[in-house]
Amino acid sequence: MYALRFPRLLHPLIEQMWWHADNSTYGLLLQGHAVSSKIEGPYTFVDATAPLGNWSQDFGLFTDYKDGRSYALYSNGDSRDGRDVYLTSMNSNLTALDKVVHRFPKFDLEAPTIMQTEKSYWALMSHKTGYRPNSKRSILPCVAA
Amino acid sequence: MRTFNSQSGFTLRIEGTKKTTHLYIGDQWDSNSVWDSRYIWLPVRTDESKKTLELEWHDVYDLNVYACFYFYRGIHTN
Repeated sequence: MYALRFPRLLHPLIEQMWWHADNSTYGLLLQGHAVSSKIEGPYTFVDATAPLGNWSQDFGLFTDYKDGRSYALYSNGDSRDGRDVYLTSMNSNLTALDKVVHRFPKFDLEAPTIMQTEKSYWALMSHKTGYRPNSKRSILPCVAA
Repeated sequence: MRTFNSQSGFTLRIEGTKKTTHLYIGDQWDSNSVWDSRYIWLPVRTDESKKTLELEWHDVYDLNVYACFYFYRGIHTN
């Protein structure tokens, strides 16, 4: 039994659902994956895995509207060896993570998302204060090459 | 950047016939009853030359998802 947070849905041919899979103390830090032939389900659980051997917290998803490629976004947790944020490409049928394309080293931020405008990519992330709000938010603009 | 007591969750790109609008979708966590947390959906304003991004607060607004104009206090954005 896994806790399910931040569910994301992708639909190439078969619906692919990805989420932050964890236990109640957030000690597993995995990514969950389920599939369905219809958007409304029922969904079949595939597995909950450590992405490319790493931890995963606050799973986010970004699809580039210009080329259709999708990317997983996640931090690797709060431990000393973690505190990075990863941007990892997914394979073309969205059934697995492919390779890390960017790492935000020791940013120690969570809940990452990317917004794409015509010229730029904007990474939005949150500082870590549990469920309490804080006065800080980060925007990392990046102009497409 | 002010997010009105919310945490970044997703942004929705809505390509309309008149314009493209980006909506910020954030989690307003309620630590006393996490299951009763709420979402906040707000239009995003960006300035490419200044590299700034802001959320626009509106108590009430209406989005025309086809043309992608949004309305608040009777004002028609463009």
